[in-house]
Amino acid sequence: KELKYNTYQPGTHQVTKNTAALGEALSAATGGDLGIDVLSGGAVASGKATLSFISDGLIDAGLVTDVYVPGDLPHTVIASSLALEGESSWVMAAAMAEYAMLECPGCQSDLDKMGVTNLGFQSTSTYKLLCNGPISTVGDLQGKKIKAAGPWSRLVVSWGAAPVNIPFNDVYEGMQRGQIDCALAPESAMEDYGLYDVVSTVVDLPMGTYHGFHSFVVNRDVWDELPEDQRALILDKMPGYITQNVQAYYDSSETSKKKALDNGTVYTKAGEDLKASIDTAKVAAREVSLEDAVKQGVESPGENLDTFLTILDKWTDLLGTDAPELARYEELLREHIYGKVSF
Amino acid sequence: MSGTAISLVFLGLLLILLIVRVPIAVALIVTSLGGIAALRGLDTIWVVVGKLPYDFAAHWSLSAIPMFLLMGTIAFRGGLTTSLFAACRIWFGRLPGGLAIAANFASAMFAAASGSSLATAAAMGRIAVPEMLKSGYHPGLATGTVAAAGTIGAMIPPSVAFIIYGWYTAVPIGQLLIAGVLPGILTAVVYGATVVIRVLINPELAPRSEYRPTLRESLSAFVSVWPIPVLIGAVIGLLYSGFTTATEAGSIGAVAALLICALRGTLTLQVIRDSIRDAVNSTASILIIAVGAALLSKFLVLAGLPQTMGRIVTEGEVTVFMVIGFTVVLYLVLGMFLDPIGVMLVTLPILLPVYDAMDLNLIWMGVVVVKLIEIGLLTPPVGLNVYVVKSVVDPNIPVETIFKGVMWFLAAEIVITALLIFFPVISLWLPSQM
Amino acid sequence: MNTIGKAFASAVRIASAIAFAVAGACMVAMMVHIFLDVLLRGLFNKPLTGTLEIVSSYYMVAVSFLPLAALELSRDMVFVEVFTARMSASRRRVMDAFARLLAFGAMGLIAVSAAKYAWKQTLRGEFMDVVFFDLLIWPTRWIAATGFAFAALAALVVLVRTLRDRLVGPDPQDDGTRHGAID
Ligand code: NA
Ligand code: NA
Repeated sequence: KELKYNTYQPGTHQVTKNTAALGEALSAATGGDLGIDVLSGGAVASGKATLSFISDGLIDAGLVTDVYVPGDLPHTVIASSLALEGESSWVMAAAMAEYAMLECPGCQSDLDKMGVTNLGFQSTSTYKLLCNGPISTVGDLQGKKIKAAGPWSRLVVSWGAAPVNIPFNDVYEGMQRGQIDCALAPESAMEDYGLYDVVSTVVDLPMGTYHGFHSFVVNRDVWDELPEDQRALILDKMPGYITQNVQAYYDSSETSKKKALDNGTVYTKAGEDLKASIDTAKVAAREVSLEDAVKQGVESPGENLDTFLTILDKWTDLLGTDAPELARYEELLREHIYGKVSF
Repeated sequence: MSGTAISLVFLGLLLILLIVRVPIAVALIVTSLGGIAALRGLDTIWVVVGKLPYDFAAHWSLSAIPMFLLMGTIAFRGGLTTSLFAACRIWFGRLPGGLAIAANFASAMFAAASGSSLATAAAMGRIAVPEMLKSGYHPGLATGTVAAAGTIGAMIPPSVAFIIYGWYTAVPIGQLLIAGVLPGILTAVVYGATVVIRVLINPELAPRSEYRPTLRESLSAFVSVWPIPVLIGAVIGLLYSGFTTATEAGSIGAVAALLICALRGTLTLQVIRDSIRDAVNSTASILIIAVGAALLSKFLVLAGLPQTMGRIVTEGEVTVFMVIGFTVVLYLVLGMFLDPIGVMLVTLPILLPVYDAMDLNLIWMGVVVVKLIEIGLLTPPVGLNVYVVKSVVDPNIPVETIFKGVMWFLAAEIVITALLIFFPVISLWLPSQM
Repeated sequence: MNTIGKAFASAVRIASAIAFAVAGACMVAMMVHIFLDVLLRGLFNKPLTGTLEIVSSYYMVAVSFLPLAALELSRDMVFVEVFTARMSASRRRVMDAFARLLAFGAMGLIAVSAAKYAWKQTLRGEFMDVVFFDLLIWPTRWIAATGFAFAALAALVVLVRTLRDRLVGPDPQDDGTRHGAID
């Protein structure tokens, strides 16, 4: 069986390469009985359509971005829309997995309703303000136009700036020509979208992560029809795959930072008012997350929120905010999550 | 049956349907859905078929198409273009194929304002083709010139194709856009020469103007044509100043065209009605074919045809020229059937690792790739630019006439593509000056 | 029977004309909406929130799919003529009938499937969060379904007309439908 795995990320993205490598490992271990055909660049399904096309059986598996489909996955979105809580991609990926795969029955029933299952989570590295002029305080941000998506839009509004929703492909031109002044994105965006020439300033303050990537969503029927040993094999490979994916985001941001500095980009310290604005927005975001969840039909989202925050604290204690040793991270995933789940 | 076999069967079916006069959009939709059903089962097709067209059409980037179409229909119905071609007759009339040359360079100018080849072909098809026909030009020459010149739209910035290539390959998009400028101008010049050569061989294609204008007439022609340069200048200015995106520039252009018509007293209710009707008709004709092309791309990717073709290359011992040769053949073959963005999305996952392995300059390859997918807009059986022109001109001109008219420009493309491949400096000089 | 058929045909014709007019109105609204957005952004630094989402989900869907029935009725859909241009009229009419049948099948399939999905999204009240307000998305699902449903019915009308032409020759009362579907 060759699983058709769809991702909207390009084939050059390290995570896409990791998925192809996972397919090769599976193929090697099963003598070619099981493999993955990676369909990259959204060639079959866009980011928004991926979940519904896995559910319909057009594709077997794929990368699902939950904030694109809050109506389908309201329970995980409660946690993933808390973008500003994220200070480390390592912590967030593990916390999301433990929350959604072990401690959130609603998350599981959302997936059941779609007829799919999900085998792991990954998170971007931290978002920063990438600007085409000197910025360090909230005052500097007044009246600026900032490319920001979903949960970050409200933070931008709180600065007295205007959130602009343009596709990432347009950010280079937008910044070059002054349609936008900043983009809120991981530093790796500078590499992914070639922004080194237009980004002159990076505000060196982490402003959260997007951690709602469902790394490996599989059609339930396809999953159930796999022989038991093949399912076990996939699950055994999953912690390593997740570790590599989080590492990919981390490496990419580190490399981008190095290149940007070489290119003359300035990393500025964030003003105290800017730091304070993040803390304020963090609290407000929890409220918004609860309100949105109610709108999407979740009855008592407060419990979910508390559960997630507790798990988040636990992983922050375990890992801190620095990059952990890879083998240890993989082991922790096995111990706390993959050793306990059943699919 | 393997995925490759299934894809070949359904591509054969597509050809048959096209031969027996099934509308292109319907043929594309039917074969793609049939193919997907064969691969993934009837149950699947039954649920996804209602979502796929919506997912394709509901996009901001495509909205540039109706806006530029509307600008073009208003300019045409409101009579702004009539005087432009009267003026062109005065200026270029003595050259062989003068109006076609004018249309070609007007397309290049329009292209400089539009990110999309389809929008360029649609707007210029409305503006230039009727005037050429009125002047006794052969329909194949008139429509072929505009269909071909429309492809300059993706070479000269702004360009959706370059932006997507840059996004996919992580090459700086600004450098890519600048890289397209000289190849775009080169294309316009070679196309102009093609028109001259054709008309020199067969003067009947484009009757020469007997009329010898005085200097005073030549100058006063400027006065009568001011709306079009102003319109194009405004759109280009908006884009280059960075004040607007392509869609926004299109909508401002449409509003400006309305205002200019009102100012000149040509804006009647009839003009408004006709412009809107024409623009809606063309938009829907274009987008439903594009929906079909997008479906076909999805079917072929699911069948694994492009992946298989890539594997054949990567497994042999290859040289740079084999890689480029394969690229050319691959895009020519896929470009016969698929939409340009679809072709690019389908093939880059295969080609990019090969280019990386061969250490090819990705900006240079980007120009070559965009040139090749633009050629695909002109090649039968699925030549989107030809269909666009078909949908905006006199319904009595059959699509074959346009394809025949385009053949000469495809011959010119052999020269242009060879120059771009053998002289990377054409693409790389400007970006190196940045 | 004949009267029912004619009533059905004129009903489809009216429906497609209305759908076409709505698409036209949407195109104008799109122009004005985008223009205002740019104007307000440029002059007062106050963009209209949700322009991108409304243009993508509403105007683009309406402009893409609502005119399909009118295209079908006026036979404005692009097709390849080269291989059949020299064939006899009656043979071409058979092929045209076949093409309409395919169009009816394809458009009908899309319409029913789209309507089922639209119904599902209506029940759950599908919306999009555009920061300052919630934009309802489920109505746009119906726009797409309606466009394809009308297109399927229009294909049926043209199919019947093509077949009848073959049997009894053209009906003079049908003159003008070729280009008059939208006037
Ligand atoms: Na262009
Ligand atoms: Na083609």
